[in-house]
Amino acid sequence: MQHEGDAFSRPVSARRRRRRALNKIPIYLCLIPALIFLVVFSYYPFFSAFYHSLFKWDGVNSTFIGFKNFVDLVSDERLGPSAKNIFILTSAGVFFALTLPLIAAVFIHNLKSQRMSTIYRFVFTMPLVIPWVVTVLVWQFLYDPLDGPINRFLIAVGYPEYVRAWLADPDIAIFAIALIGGGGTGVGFPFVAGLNLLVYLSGLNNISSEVKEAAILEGATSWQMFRNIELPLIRTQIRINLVMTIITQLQTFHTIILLTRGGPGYSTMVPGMAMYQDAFEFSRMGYASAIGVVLFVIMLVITLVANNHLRTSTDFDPD
Amino acid sequence: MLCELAIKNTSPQPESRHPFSTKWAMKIAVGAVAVLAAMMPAEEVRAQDDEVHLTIWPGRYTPTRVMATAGGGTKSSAIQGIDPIIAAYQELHPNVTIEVIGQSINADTRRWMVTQLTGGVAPDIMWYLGDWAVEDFRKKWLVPINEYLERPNPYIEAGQPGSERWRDLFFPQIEVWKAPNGELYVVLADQIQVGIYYNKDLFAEAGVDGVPNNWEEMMVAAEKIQATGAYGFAATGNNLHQLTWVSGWLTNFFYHPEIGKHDKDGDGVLDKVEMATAVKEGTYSYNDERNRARLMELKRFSDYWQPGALGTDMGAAVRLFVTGRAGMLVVGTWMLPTITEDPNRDFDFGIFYLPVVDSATSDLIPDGVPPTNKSAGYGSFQYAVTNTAVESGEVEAAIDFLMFATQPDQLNQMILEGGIALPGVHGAPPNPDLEDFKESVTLARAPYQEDDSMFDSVFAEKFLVVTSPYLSGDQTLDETVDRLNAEMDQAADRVLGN
Repeated sequence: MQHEGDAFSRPVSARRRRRRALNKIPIYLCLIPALIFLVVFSYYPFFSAFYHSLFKWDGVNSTFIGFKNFVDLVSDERLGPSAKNIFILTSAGVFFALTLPLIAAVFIHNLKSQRMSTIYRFVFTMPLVIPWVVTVLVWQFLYDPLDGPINRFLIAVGYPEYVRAWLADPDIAIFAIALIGGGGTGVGFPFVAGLNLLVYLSGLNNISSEVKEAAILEGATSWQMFRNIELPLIRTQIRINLVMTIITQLQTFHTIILLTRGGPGYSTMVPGMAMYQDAFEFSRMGYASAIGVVLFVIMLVITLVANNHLRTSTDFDPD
Repeated sequence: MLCELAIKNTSPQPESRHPFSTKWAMKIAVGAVAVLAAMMPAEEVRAQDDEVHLTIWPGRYTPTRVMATAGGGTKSSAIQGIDPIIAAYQELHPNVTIEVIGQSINADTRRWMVTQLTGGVAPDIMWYLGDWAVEDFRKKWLVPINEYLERPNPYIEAGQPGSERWRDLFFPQIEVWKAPNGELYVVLADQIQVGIYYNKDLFAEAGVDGVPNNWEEMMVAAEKIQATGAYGFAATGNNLHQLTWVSGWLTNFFYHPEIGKHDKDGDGVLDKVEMATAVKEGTYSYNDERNRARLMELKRFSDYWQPGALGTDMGAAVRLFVTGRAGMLVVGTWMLPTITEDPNRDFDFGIFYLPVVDSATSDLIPDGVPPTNKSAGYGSFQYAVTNTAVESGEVEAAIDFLMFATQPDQLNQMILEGGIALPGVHGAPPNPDLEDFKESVTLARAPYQEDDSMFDSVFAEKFLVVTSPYLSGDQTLDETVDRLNAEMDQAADRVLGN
């Protein structure tokens, strides 16, 4: 009987598999348009940048020059200021994006009132819908050396010696921009709002209530709870935020072009601005592609390092 | 149809047994023509009906219906811009439709244009700066117009300038931006000018009598204005405009004795190739005492800017001036309507042309150097026909529209309404709004170009980048000179195609 049944069931299951496979065809077909757009608008430009980075290409005329664009990058006088500036912006971004949203998320997570928690969550994520350009233009007004509220406030409270041309002083312009942040994932002043907060909250919400109850029974204080339970169990979220923040900050461009265009001098120059300038102002598309390739390699390395060397929540052993 | 032909061709031919008979060949030809007609692109079929569609980006003459503002210089009230000219042309040529494209003129305009032209999707007719055209000529983005300028303009009444040769219609400024291949690329039908707008109330309060007669008097006026608590100049230092207008002005006085040394073809003006050659031969360098003195004078000028001017754009500088907090503003004709109509302005203002620089400023400058027209070759009606028109086969149509648009009567309406430029063609009456500028545009063309147009746009950006820290006191003159020399050397190579 069993033998018969096995013998009978084999062709049936094969038929079922075939039918299941046929049923999935529409799903694959539905994915094709998205795949085509992805290839055309993401992968093609990506590989095209690699290809064109080997050419002297002004958008019309193209000459193969091997790795000369990359060699020229080394002697590009924008390299030093760009590297310094992007380091400042990325360091500030990482510091602000990893700490402040985390603190806010922990507070919101531990609110007793569910209603208040929802309200706070709503209030803190609302800024995500405000276009970044608007935020930047508000900052431009705040920083205005003559009419800006910051300088007016400093004068009003008796500190006129601290009045500055915030975006025009080469010594402080990049720090003024670092304070604004880079937008994107919410890496912007006051740094508590945005995606980073939501990522932390999702991590905190996933912590098992049994673990927390056990810690409370053991007499853990709020600090100990945060230090020994919550923080280790949201390492995955910390890593996500870290990588996303670094990538966002390395690509910083729109804040710079709106406020300073890389000046005065090169005091606020960043790789993204240099790339844009080369491509669309100087018609050095090949050279701009080379900058893009280098940026990509840097981001790839950072992502790989973060993935391989930062512990995730699953690595954590509370024992 | 192909099958039918194939069947017929394989059937016996009673008239002739020869496979290549005349009748057989005719059938093949007719079939081939039919197939080719079916395969012909739709555009070419349309061309037979003589339907023409042109696109134009008219810069500051963009009608308000398309775009509320087309840069900082458009009248705050609504303008028709180029619309009436298009309407008149379309009435004359019902088969032609002309679509106006809106795009601001601002710091990103050049980038927008480069992107459009690189992609081959630029408007058929496009606002274009003459010196950019010279820089871009190797890219074949624009149609050379010398050939068309030699043709008669059919819209000009017989006997009038331009009726026999279109070129004769224009003022000589159209010839300023000639590319190294001898070609012109921009139809320039009006003229703009840069001047110094000054606050008459502040001048009176500071005890400045009349307008400055030379550079030194202007510096003294700025100092007196600073003493009242206002700023000498409302300046914009985050772009090239004022910086290179003034530095270019200074160059023409400091380097006046050197013109003959650089002007190889003896035409009295120094084009990009001549300057690049001078750089490579070592006869023009920022190490020269003249250039060093010029940079120092530029720094002296910046001492009278408002704080933070290096991070200020033109809009903010204009706001500072119209709110009465700065005595002077260096800007062009295109800003006149904006300043005139600004509701925040509660003072009377006047305009004077950039004052001469003489031996009172430096021993290097001989007295009596004549002032020149620093803006020769620039306008608001400065249009080029692009590679898009070449691709679509509409170059002739685009040129025909430009011939129509440059008729003095057509042009005059638009210029008067805009109030931002003076006519650049014979037969158009002067613009009464721009009385203060009408004399300076008649001066001879400035021999030396400004630093931003002397070589190419890469050098232009570098000039701003290198001089900014010098002006802010973060870089010495020697460092500035060294950096500018290095950048200029590379720029010269690019201009010469090395």
